[in-house]
Amino acid sequence: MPDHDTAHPALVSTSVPGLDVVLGGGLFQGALVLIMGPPGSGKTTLATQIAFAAAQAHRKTIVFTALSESTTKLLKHLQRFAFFDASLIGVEIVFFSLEAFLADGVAAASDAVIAATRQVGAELVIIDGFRGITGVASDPQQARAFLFDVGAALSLAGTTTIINSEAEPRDPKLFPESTTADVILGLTYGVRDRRALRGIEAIKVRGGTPLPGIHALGLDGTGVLVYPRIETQAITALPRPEVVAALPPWAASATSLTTAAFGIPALDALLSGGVTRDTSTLLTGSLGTGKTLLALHFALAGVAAGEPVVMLSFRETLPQLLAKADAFALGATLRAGLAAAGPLTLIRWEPVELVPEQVLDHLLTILAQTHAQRLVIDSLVELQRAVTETSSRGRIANVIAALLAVLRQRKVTLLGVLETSVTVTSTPDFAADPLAILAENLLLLQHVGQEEQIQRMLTVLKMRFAPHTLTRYPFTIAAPEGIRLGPSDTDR
Amino acid sequence: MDHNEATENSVPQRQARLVLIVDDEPAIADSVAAVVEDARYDVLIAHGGKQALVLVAQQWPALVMSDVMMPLMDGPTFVTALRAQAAHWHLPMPTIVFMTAASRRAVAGVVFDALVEKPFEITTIDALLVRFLGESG
Repeated sequence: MPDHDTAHPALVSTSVPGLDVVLGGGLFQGALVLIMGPPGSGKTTLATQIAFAAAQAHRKTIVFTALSESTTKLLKHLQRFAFFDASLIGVEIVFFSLEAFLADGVAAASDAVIAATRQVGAELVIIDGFRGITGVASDPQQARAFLFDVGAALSLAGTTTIINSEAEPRDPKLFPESTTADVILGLTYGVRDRRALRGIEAIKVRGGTPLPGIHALGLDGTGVLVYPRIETQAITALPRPEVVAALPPWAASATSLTTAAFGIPALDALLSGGVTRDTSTLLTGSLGTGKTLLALHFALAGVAAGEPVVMLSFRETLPQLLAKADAFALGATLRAGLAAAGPLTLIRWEPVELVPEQVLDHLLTILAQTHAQRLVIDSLVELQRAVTETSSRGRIANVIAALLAVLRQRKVTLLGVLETSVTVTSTPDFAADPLAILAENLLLLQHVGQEEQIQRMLTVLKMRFAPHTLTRYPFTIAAPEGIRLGPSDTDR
Repeated sequence: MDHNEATENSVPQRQARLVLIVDDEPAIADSVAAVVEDARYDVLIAHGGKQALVLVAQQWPALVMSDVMMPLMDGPTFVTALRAQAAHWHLPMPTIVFMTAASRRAVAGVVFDALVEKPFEITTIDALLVRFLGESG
């Protein structure tokens, strides 16, 4: 078997979180990599982060700095990042100024750079700053040609070479160089509603299968973090239809569906045991109808059964959630669930400037780590908003469809809370809501006016794999038992 | 015989007030040179270890301020070669000051007199000159 793989060079990890996934595994040794992007997009951080990771692995690395920034200035700037390791400098990784090589002209510089690389025995070379070179050579095209000649020569000799270039990722003027490069990464940097948004696209990965599209790029004290688009987790490269021409063996006999209970006897009875496993259920309704409490019931029913459960919350903080649980005698179960070896994992995000790719990437990681098959998201509204803010409303349906597909693949049962603006009404029409179409099941919680009283009502609007009637069931929320289906005490 | 032309066998002239600055970044070499000149010492600039060895074959400095990370011939390699030359010509070894952002591991095994971490203040250079060459005239 290994003999068949020799045609494909082994991929080396970049050690940048998420980047290997986007590249389709990593970078092959000797690759000529071009990173393009505007100022501030993270080119230098990305390249030097890869450089320090290589140095850490005892792979000799050279960073050639541009004229615009001295090596001293660059090193000072890099000290802010966790990947910076001063003990490696001058030992495993060296920083050279390109300027020294250019003293005798562009032609001589090429040979000098190659000679310096050979002397160090570098496995990785970073040439940071296309623009700096452009300043020295009279013709920008000549400067580009110089860098690419150098890069191509180094890459042919087996040295992975990363060239950073201050350019628009899809600048047609760069076309000649683009054909030479094995990998082209485009970084984007924009401001939207006063918020900085960074992205990364694997424009070209020769011989590889990169994840298509623009992925989210984060910058913090650890350096660059890449969060792949959730859509690429559901489909790879091109969407392919599933065509069934022959029934697979497993489908020959009737399948028995299992359910995930709420732990509220009357509701579970109504749903013939609970919601169908491996499906998604939307819990919708206006503010204050008890959605979060019902979602908490669902999560804790899993905890009580000893199932690993994940709760993704943008609303209640841990103290608020504990207070809520305590008010309804659910506190002990919640505490047991969240105890050190407990089956419940609570993920809480402050719903400010969320990056949907980051939130979902983290969620899928936690689901994989915990093997959870029961997930509560409170609520999907924050995710929708994050998608709208970072791209457009039009992407919501794709993101949610991808999320639901990934959850289905992983056999995770989702209960997602979704606010509606309708306060008091009869059954609202969800026909136009893409979320309601995508989810298998739809539960509606409402306030319905009955003479002097406002009664809480639960309606099963859609239950794809179970029989249901469009009947409104009254329910009450009372301490200490929490949610109870049935007429309110005053009606009895 | 041309006295300005250094040959294999001619011993370079000792210069008690000469400071040799070796750095591949011209901007850093130039700014350090300016401070040394202001203190009224003589200055030679080299942009790499190899160029520095050519220069010392003509004029032997009293003090060398060298970068560590330089292409083709780095600071430690240059200083080791300089020590061999000093022995060959029976000249006193110049005072060696490394100016670097590199790890101390990069200069392990090399004898030097001082190490200045980049970036540094101008006053650091003045203090070094006083310490190793005495008060300027």
